[in-house]
Amino acid sequence: MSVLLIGLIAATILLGYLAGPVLVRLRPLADHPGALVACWAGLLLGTVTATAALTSMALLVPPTPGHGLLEWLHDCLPHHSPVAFTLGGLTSLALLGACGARLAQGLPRLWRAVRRRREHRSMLHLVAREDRRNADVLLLDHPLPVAYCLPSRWRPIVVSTGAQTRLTGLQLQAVLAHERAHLRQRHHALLLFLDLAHTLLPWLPTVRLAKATLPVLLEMSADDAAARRWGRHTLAGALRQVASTPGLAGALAAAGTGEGLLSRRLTRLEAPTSAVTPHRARRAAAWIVAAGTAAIPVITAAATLTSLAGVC
Amino acid sequence: MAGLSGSLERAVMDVLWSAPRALRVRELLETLNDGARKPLAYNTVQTVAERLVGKGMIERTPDGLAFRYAPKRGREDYAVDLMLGALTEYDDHGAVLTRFAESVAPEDAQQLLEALRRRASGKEVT
Repeated sequence: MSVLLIGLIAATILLGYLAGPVLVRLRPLADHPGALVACWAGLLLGTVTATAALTSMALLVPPTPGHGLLEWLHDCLPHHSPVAFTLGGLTSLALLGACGARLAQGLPRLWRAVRRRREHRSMLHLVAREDRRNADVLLLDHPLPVAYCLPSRWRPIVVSTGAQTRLTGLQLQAVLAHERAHLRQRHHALLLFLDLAHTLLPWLPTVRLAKATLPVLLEMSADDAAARRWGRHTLAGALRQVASTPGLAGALAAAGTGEGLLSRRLTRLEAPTSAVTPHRARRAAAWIVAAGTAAIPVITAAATLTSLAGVC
Repeated sequence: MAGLSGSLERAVMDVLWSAPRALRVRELLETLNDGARKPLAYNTVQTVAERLVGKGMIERTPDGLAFRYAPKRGREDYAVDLMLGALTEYDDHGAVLTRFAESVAPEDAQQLLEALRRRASGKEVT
């Protein structure tokens, strides 16, 4: 039991406070956004699980204050109980209140983002036209050059007529490949999860760093997929013309990466020795890191909760 | 969403947007069934139109014993809303607007300036 508890505390500190800053400084992976995205996803999942498990332990296990709350509620006679129980109960109430407040703040936000996306989708459905040449594209009549995607089974990519007239055929295909990569790699789901993690645990360095770097990495990862197929210079040319955005994920607007984002992507694409195809070994290493950081806290948490079932 | 009723709503909006005036269900039905392999029933079209009224997309005005239906706002207005919705999620939208402003044709630029001036002076842009 205590081994598991120590394990969870260690996991929270390691993942929440140390792993993020290390990952940002990791040189060998610096130019492999796809691998980095996998690492961040694993890290986020691990951090959230470890913290959630630790909080529920604090509320329930006998030696921790929360168990006092249970006992206190159980005999319902606070002035007859020892002072320690009353104090324990109060601490647990404070902890419960804090968790409740965080959830009350985070969940409606997530819900709003999802609802806004759905409303946008149904309006698009009425207003946009079907593109005859690409089976997954909707055309929106507007001179602003914009392309974005919204997860949906029916025509998930939206391109404005402004973008269509401004791009060459190849450039348009590169932009579409970029959006398809977002959809294929489930970037929307990742951004929503990131948003939730940030609302629940905004003070953890790993979560804060993920919030600052992950949106950029997602764009670069999609850039790489498009560049592999259509060429880096075609894509760079297209990006200069068009704003491409993952669209209504609810996280990008608050990310605050500022106007440097596009120029960073362009510099990367136009660099003479740009590595858009990562080494196989590095990619494998990244996946192992991602799987490990996510799996260890999840397994520890599961083991802790099973052992808890016997205690309570 | 992409199911049958969704495509019907789309088709009805398409007809109403391209019609020069408000249409009765009968007229709507004729346009929709023009050259269609499987003609739609009157009741189906009426239900779809009523649902669009409920969604606030179209409005109906009494005309004798029936109603006439017309879109509340033009297709372009909705397109503008959608573009703004997509752009507000994009933290670099200043750059998009700048690039757009640099690339519009001179006569369009004049119109754009007019619209911006009207908006800056607090009047409604139409």
